[in-house]
Amino acid sequence: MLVLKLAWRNLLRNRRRTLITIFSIASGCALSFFFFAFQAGVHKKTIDDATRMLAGQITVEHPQYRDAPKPSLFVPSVAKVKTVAEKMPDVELVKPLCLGNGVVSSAAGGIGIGFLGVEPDREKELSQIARSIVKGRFLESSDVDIKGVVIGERLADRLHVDVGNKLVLTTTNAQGDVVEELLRVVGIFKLGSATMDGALIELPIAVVRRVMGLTEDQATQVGLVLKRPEAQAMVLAETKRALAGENLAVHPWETLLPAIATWVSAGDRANQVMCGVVLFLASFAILNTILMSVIERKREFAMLLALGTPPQLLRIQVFVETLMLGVLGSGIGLALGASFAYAGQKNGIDMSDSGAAGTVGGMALDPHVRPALSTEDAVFVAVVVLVVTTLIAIYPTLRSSRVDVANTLRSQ
Amino acid sequence: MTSIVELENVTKEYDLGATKVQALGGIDLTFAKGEFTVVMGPSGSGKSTLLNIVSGLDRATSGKVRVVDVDTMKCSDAALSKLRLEKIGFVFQAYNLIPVLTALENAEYVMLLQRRPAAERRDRAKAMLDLVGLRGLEDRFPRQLSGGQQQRVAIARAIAAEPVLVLADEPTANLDSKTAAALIDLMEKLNREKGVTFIISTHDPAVVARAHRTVTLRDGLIAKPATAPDGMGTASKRITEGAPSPIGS
Repeated sequence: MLVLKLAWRNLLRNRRRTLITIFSIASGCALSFFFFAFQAGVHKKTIDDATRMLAGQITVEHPQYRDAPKPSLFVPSVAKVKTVAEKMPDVELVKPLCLGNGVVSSAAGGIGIGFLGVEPDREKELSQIARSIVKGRFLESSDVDIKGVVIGERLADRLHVDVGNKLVLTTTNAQGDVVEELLRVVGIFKLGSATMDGALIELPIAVVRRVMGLTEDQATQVGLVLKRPEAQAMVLAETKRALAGENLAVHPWETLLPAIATWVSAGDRANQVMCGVVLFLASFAILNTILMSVIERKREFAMLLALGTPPQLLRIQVFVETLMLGVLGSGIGLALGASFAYAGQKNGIDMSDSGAAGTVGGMALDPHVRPALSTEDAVFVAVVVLVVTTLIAIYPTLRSSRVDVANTLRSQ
Repeated sequence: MTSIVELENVTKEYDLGATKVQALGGIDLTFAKGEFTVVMGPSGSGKSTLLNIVSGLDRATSGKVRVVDVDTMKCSDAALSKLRLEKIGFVFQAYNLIPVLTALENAEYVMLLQRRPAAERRDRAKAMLDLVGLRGLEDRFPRQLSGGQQQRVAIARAIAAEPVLVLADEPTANLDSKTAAALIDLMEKLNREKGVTFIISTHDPAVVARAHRTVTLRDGLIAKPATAPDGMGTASKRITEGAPSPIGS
């Protein structure tokens, strides 16, 4: 109690200096925490868009499909996977997909593309493509009859086709035969990614099944979209366990989208390093304050040692003062950073004019960012401050008890 | 009378690099329990050095030093710190209170280090502040007290833990004559009524006039025989004349 009382009152001795120090640490913490939340928001949105548009956070497919994606390597019973997945409360929905590669041709020529067979009604709520239609409309269940397709804007330009025009899709079916299908463009989308806009088409899964020669219960992938991304590891383990005897592979999204996974991981590391550097620099304000305080109180320390104060008590007192600055600074900083991030989360931050648009793994980054607050990031920032503060405290702490008592008191 | 401090042929030499300065040149001195002794002498005569060696804040270069039956020459720093904490009270020249603690908390401080129960600490600190005439000022911080009041708090702190010896290094140096006189009255009263042993280094003739015994130092040596006007004190009185020159230069 004595140490805490002395430390707190000593900090209040020079209020202005203490406030400036706390402000410095708080600024570093607020900045770091906000950047974490901002980046987490970008990551979360990108992963969410990619997994919802493609094969979910968890994908079930044929064990050899990753090595050689062929229509013959399909999931034999979507219903079986659905039965397993729908028992898990964290699974929001199960989406069967039929992926493939082929060539689409118009009067202007043919272009190699990837095609995505989806359930139109369900996809309307899920897919970024549905939200990115710039001409025409998104797919509807009735498009099975007219063999409707939505294509990227760049592809439409290259093929010189528009809404209402016809295309021919040429691909191979599950039996290894080359097959063709006449499609009608019902919509044109613009995702902002050259890959997606120039080489992707989306059409009803029923049409793709027919083209590929698959039954209504077969698909190349079954994606599980989760209610909470944090439940991924648990659902993955549970799905693997439940499908253990089915000759099926269960993958997390990181396996299917390695470029995005690497980008997220590298971004997190870079942010952690930046946070460490910012907080290390900010912590020098603490070093300056405590060192000044120790130097100014040399006579006081000499007097305390003369009275019989154990040197370790002085060291603990200085350490606690340093720690108090760190704790107060990081507490206020985290509160400020969280407030800014929360405001950004509520209102969104529009980065479309910043020129920061880009793509990762073929996915366009959404320029409308909503920072994502996370306890882990707050704990990380607080721990970094405490570790840096502890390191910074070493020198002044040791110096506090290294006083030549007799000489110092003599020179008063 | 029981001796509380015994110094035998104590020397102290300061190494200033190219020069060595002898602050004490072989002191033989004994202070008895219950004495009110003044150590006087001009600046640089070795008064503070003598007090520092008695308190264990500084170590003698040679000789024997016994304080409260402890051979301080053989003690570790930690043991000396413990000796000061448990047996010795200090009154410094420049008040030297802890600025962030109130008068009451300052008076309690040494007892707190001694881990005495809170109630006992508080009662005793209050009683000591009362004794030094500071009733009603317990909650004031040092900056809210005058110089004389601060020095009274320092005395209250020095005696609150019931030390067997109080060392006061020029306690009246920064006080006006009226406040200084009141402070001397107080210390003498504590000596008389509580039996606290005081060793006071000073230039102040008013303090010297009240001493039971004076020891005069000049150039690190006892310059004239110690006196014991009340018949108190059994100090060995060695007169060593001649100022030592810096050596080793």
